[in-house]
Amino acid sequence: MYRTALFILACCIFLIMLTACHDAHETDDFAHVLAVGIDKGISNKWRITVQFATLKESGGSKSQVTGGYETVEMQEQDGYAAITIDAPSFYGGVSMINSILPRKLNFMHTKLLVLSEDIAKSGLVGEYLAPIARYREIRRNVRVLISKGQAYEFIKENKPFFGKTLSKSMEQIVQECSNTGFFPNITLGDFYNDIKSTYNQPIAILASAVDGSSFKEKGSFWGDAFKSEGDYVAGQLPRTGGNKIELFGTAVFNGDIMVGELNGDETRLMLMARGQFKRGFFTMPDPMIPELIVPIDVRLSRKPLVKVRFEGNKPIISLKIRLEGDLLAVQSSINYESKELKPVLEKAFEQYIKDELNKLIEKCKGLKADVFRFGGTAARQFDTIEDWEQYNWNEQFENAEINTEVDFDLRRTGTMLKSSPIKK
Amino acid sequence: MFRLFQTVKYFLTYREPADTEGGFELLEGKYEEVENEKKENPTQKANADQSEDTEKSTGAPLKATKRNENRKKENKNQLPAQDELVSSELKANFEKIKQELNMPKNADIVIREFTVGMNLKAFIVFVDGMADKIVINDFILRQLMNTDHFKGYKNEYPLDYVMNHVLSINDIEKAKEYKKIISEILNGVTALFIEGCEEALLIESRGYEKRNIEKPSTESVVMGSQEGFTENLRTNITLIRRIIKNKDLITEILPVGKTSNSNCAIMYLDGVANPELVKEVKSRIKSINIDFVTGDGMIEQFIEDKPFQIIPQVLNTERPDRAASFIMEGQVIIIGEGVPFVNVVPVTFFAMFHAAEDSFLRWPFGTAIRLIRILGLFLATLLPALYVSLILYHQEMIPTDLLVAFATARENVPFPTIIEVLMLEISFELIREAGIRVPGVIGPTLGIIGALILGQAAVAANLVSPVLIIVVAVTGLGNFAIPSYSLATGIRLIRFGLILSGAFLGFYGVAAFLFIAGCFACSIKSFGVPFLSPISPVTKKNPDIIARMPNFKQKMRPDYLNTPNRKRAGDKSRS
Repeated sequence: MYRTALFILACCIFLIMLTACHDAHETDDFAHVLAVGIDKGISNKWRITVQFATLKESGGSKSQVTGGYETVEMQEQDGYAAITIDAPSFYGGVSMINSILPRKLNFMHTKLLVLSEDIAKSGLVGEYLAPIARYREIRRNVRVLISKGQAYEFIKENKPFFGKTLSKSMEQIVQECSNTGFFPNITLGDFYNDIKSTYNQPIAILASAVDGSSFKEKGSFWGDAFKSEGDYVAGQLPRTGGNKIELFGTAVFNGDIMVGELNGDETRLMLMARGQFKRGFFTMPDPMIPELIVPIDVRLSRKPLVKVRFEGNKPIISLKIRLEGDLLAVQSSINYESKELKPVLEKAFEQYIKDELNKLIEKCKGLKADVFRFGGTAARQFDTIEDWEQYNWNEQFENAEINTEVDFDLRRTGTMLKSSPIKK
Repeated sequence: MFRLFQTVKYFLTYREPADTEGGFELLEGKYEEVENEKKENPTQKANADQSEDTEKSTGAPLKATKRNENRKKENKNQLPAQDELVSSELKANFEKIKQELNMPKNADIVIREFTVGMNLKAFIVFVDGMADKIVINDFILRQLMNTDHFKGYKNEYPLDYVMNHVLSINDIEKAKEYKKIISEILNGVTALFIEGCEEALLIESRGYEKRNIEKPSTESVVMGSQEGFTENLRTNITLIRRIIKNKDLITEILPVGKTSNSNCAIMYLDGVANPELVKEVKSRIKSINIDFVTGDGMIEQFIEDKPFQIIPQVLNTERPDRAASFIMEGQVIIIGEGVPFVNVVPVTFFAMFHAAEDSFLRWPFGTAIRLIRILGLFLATLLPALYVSLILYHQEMIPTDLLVAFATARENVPFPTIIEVLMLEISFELIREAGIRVPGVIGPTLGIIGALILGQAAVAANLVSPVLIIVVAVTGLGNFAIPSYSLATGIRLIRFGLILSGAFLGFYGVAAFLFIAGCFACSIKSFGVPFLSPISPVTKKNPDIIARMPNFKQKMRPDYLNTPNRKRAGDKSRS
């Protein structure tokens, strides 16, 4: 009895020990892919780019010049590498790369999925995305970027600019949208659901590698004309220096075909309507002296109110956006802090937002893309999903009549209670 | 094959447990809620040593052995043979004693022959080193040999006269049997034989070397008493009696160890401790049948409910104040001879998890340090196992930067993670063990070796990754935070099981192992009390499990002890 028990126990132990370890993997068994890029291929259908950590001690500025006469070689080794390959499919590309790499590619920690604008515009996204979304290792919170230009060029420029770790840089840069609102925070899950969705159209982050050509060193000076800070898309920001990638604006899709772009300002308004806007600095022409500007720090005070009703087949949508904000500067030194002038500023800002919003809505109607997620509200008017699907919201959106209303409260005036004119 | 099938079936089918508790369960019963004052059976109280203790605190005579001997005599209930008794001829007694004590061979027995004041021949016997020389010289020999003391002698029985008029010693007893006399001599008592007397006089003269009361070395506290138990049974009993000055504090002395003739004492508060519990403790101690038992570590193994469990079911403490607090709650303590620890039964997991200092501190601090301690307990048990399973199976849960850092650190290490972990854990255990055994003189060297080899050289030589050093170090720290040494040792063993199961099955393995360990912990009983009460089974409890409420909120004695007197405090315990 006792010996039999021991025998069975031994069998159980061997069973566990001989089988169970097989899917254990050491951390250094893998090449952890941080970004995946997809272009149209030349030698094969797709051009796959993977960027992964090479697990080298990130040198960077580690080596220093110590002695006066001693020269030390600066080793610029940032610990990351990218491989680009033309392949018939994503998985084909992965196995081709695995064959040349001493480690297995692993997508558990992938942060970015970069698609080139070419692919997006030719409607190949759906064909490509479904297998990726199905893959077990890829998380649904991978951010989806549409790169103006080639995706592999974008990834080549994707380097840690602050600190040494790329993953942290990427996590931080996509989080920046909550401070500015210049681009949406779109994950693979959102994007894939929206592609299939009958309620709204998908959007993606617009990104670009920067070659520095948009910064003009010479030319005539700008003058007093007003161009807002968000009136750009990725790749156009007139800057020099800094990292070589930009995330700015939104790619708008109809189904899986990219049909247009929203610039930074339009993205903010769209996010306001979706209720996803966190905060951002807005610059508005001074209502009394239009050459000067009034910057305001704006937040959503509450979720936007969306109401949908139908007149026949035509949807009538009323959208009310409720904002609040703090005054950041008054160039004109007009005392907008006072009780009398504050409503003037508020009204002007409300009107400014409302005008821009109406323009954006018209633009989106033209693109046949409900990026505002009105469909979710509209669907409540239908009794069954079949009715809703038959109605075909994405087609009907361009007929919609959308009434907008903006409500803005100026809460604080910064550290100044009163603006006084500059004495000369 | 059929037998194999039968055995498998035997293991898989449910059977009513036949007698799982070893026959003893501490149940609620007739004893509960009896008022403290009423106790009908005063004969049960062997409260003999109280008067002595209040009078003198050190070097007190050990009457215990005498009582044991008496009881044994009663038990046997037969008259001893003639040559077992003291003879009236001094010569015969002298020879008998020499023979019994192996005199020429035994070098430390001293027999001093002399003449008592009224010209009677006599001798005293004592063990050199066990008896106090000053007492023998000044209060036995000088008194007996001084003829002035015998002026009033009128031909009485010499022994009685000596006892009543000559010897100014507090504890004197007459004895007839050699067996008793010999055992008392071995305990340090001086025996006086006088010509023509059929009895010997046992004169208290114990005065052997013993350690002073020192700070407890294993349970140190910042605030609170700094006294620890010593190796001396008598001193230990006194230490407790000094804290609980109650006539109902009972000390019963029971013999353990057939050849070494040592004793152990059980102490409890009559009217608070459940009589069933006391009875069970006594019966378990009496059933110990072995030649040599010293200290509670050994007693513990003989009286435990489930000796093959890893988790200890008896609590050891080195602190009299802690032992006293257990007595006040209705537990029974067992004091052995020869080690500065006492056993407390029954105990629960939470008693082992509490430290002496908790109740001295104000309650927010007491609660805070307990939370830190339970964190330490979790880390000591789970951290290496979680690390292994996280690294091997659940890499998606590690933040990417950390994962890259882990992988970069591991890049140069040639071993699998599990080997790395086991290597470091075992060398850590080695350092701990060596640190205890190492002679004090070279102790500091060990620290340097440990720190150098494990901390730096192992990483530099790419034997382990630096992250692992942190894991093992934190695990060790967590283990040191567990107040009960035996529980901490148990956790050290369980940790290795968890590491292996984590390495084989990941989080699932850790969870499965914890589940099994939890089942075992739930099934254990310590003297009839479930080990995890009052959490499982749920009973009424004071707010003193993990979080600790102020002392005045703790009004009841633990429910699971089923004490006759449940209340500790009045309805209004503070103004």
